[in-house]
Amino acid sequence: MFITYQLLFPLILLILLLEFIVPKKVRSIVLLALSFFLYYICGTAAFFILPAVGIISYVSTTAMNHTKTQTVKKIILVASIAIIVGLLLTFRYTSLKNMAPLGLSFFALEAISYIADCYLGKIEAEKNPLYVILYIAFFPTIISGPIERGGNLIPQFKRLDSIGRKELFDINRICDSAIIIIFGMFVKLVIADRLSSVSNHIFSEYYHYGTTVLIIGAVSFGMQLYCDFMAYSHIALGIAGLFDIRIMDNFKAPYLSVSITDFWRRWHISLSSWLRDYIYIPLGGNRKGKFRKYLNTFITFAISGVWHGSGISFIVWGALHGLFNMMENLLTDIGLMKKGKRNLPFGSRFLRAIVTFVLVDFAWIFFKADSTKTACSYIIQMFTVKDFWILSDMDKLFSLGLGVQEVMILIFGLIILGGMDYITYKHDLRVDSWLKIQGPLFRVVFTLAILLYTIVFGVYGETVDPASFYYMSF
Amino acid sequence: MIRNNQTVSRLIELIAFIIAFIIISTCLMNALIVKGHSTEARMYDVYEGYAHNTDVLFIGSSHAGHLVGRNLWRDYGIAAYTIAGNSQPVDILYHSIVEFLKYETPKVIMVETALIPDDSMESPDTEYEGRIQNGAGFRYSSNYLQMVSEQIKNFNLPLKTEGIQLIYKWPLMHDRYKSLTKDDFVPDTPYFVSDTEPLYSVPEQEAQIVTSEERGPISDIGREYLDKIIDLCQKENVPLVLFHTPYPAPEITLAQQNTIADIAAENNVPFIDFNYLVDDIGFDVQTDQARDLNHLNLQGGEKITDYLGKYLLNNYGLKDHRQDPGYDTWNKDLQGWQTLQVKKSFEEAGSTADYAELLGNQYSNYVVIMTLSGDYFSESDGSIESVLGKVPVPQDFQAKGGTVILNHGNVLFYSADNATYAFSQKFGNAIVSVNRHIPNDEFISQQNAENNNDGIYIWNDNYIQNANGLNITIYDSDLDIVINSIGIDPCTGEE
Repeated sequence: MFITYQLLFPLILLILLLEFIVPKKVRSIVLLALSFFLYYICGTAAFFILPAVGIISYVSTTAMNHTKTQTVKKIILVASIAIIVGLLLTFRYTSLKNMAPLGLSFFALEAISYIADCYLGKIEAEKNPLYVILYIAFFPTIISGPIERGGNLIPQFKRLDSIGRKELFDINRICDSAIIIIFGMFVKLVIADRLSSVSNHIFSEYYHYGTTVLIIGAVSFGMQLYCDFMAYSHIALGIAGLFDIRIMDNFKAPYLSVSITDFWRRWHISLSSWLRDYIYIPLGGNRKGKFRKYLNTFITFAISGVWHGSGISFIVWGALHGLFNMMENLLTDIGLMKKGKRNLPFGSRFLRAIVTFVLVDFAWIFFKADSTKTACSYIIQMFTVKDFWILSDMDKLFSLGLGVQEVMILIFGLIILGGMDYITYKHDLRVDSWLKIQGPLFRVVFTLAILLYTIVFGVYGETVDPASFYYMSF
Repeated sequence: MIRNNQTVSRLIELIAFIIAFIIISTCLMNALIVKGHSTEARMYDVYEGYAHNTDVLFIGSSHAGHLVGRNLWRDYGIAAYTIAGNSQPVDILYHSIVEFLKYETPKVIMVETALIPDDSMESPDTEYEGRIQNGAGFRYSSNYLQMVSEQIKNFNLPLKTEGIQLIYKWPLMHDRYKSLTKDDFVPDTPYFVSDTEPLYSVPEQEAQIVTSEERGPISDIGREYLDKIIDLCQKENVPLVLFHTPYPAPEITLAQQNTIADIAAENNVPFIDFNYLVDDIGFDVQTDQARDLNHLNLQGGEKITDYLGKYLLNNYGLKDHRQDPGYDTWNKDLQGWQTLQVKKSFEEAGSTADYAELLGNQYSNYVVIMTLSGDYFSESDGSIESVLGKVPVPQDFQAKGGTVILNHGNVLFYSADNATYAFSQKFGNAIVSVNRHIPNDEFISQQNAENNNDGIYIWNDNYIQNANGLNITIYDSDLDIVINSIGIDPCTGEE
């Protein structure tokens, strides 16, 4: 995340202190300055693209606001979105792809949603360019989301510039935000980065292995990706919370989903809802018959694949999810699959969660592999080369990137994460809200335990850069 | 009102959290900090209070370490403590003195100068940077932060990466959870005040110590820190002595040491370059220098130490503390040193007869644990009998087998007629335990039986060497040192 945490967190604390000291009207300016500063020092290429997209968003929406004619508004909408999509495609598919600014995929979608929402009249165009640019450049969300909406963030920036110091320094909110950050760091450093040793090892040398090891590799990657991205979202959410800015939850125990549809309601929620609002619904959604519904679903997921990366493998991944969704819709429509999860008994829910996980994890192979060809070879080998005896060969089993000690540390981490996910799934509670129910003593002990566990057993130090996240590469 | 109560309660919770975090993380840092080798005096033991009452601090590179200098206590009663690191860089040397002075107030500081002019300080490599941290097991403190900030400045370390890791320290040491040992929680031999691994070799070729009148440049960093050391000692009002151990040094080294002599003279600091005193001391390169023609061997170290003993007594009014209370560390150090010599003798015993003779002479000083395991009775050469004949074991021990523990010559435990047994005894912090899982004849009848029926455990390590034969472990319970552990094969008599 921009820079090493050892610099980032003290810097954030410093800015928080500064926010307290400076007159309230300049708080957003301080936040914007910090956002640009962090974005600049992280060494991104084409730094100017970020403010440029912010300015395009402001100018186009202001122009739309001053125009009475619907046609001109539409032209401005199409032109501005075309410029932003053009930038996205240029930096993805041309020789400039190595020059792509960090987080372009994320802030470009934020800009599009803002312009579209203004055009559709969902929100009013903001008159102060500062808030629009800050919305695009807000540092916790800039690199890997959540893909926020102007309607949610901009009013909060305005509020930040008007509230009293007492409200800004609400100790309950600050402590809760710190807990969210600590939990995010725990998931990232203890679980995600440990799992990456296994998935990187197996995916880079998949040709040595058979069914068992390749399944371990795929499951490890699935868990790694979830933990890495969920951790980022938590850290972003916690950091924003320190400044009294509430951003959306991006994950809600996705691997406990009972269907692919359910999964996409819980995984990368900000992207799913963006795709729903700005791709699926404009395409007609489910309003134009079943065939169009299936087709629209498929197109939406294919676009999601394109958004994630430039290789064919990402399109295959998107198409697979499109296909899974279509199949699920079909099975539901013909009555072979129950729609809601509420009426499902535990056994069915459990089995459906496993099936969903297997399907999602299978698709992740295309996400992780260097190319479609590699992914196909991986899958063929996974289904054809027997190596079940490796489960009895402890030496081999514990040479797949993690030794016994590391696996023990990982298992403890996964138990905590699994428990927390179950609570989120069952009661829709995040770690901070759950701890609020448990009472202060447990809250102190739990937070202290995961913080110390992370400090000692986290994967960081001389040779590791823990500040990089998987989704930063998109 | 409710909101205010909530705020106060959360504030209390936060304060409790911070206090608990500080306490636990300090304990964790103590366990995870790099401590150095337990075979030499180290900063960690200073933190633990083992350097208390130090008269003289010896500090410098491995040249200082190989002084060894037990005769300083044995013959003169001077309580000296040696902080010497392999190629210890001059900045660490300076900050080690600062760190030492935070805990102790020596009456003299002896700084060894071999590495002060080191040119490699100007452009250290990454290995050097790593050594900076591994060599200096400092606790987190303002001195540590000062040292780190100087290193960042001196070596242009990027703040975003190496620099920030040095500042926090944690990222560089948290990985030690993978390799923690007993020493990280209960220090091994913390009473050693100097290196315990002297060199015994002598040069393989003719060599000569020469002197020079030339002056050679020393590195800017070397000069800067030498000045700092001089200033520090003046400020703390502790007499400083610079010294350079003798060896056949190249011309440039001699010239650089002459420059250091000039700086010392300018500041009224005594400088003893032993290259100029070899005749007075009777130092012979061919017998007193190690094979590497760089360091002193044990004999050479003792000669130099002997000179320093007289020098310190005559010039700094130090007293003989051998009979004084409060110098337990130095008594234990000498005792430990003698134990290590015994350990060396056991390791060098050429035959079972030599071993038996040695055991006969030493058993009354230590805990001796003997186990007759497996098929020990098909002895062909009488080697087991010869060893047992030298120690006061019960008469029927050889016939019945099992385990005998002698504590300074007295029987502490004997398994006698018990076919299976378990026994443990606490010595200080250490538990010494023995056991037998199944009767010996049953064990023998099992084909391919694993070597785990008998156990001689000290700190959870099993010292049983042979499944069949006599196993002997000699343990110094006062100093917590395992002196020797062997297994004597009944057929071959081989250890």
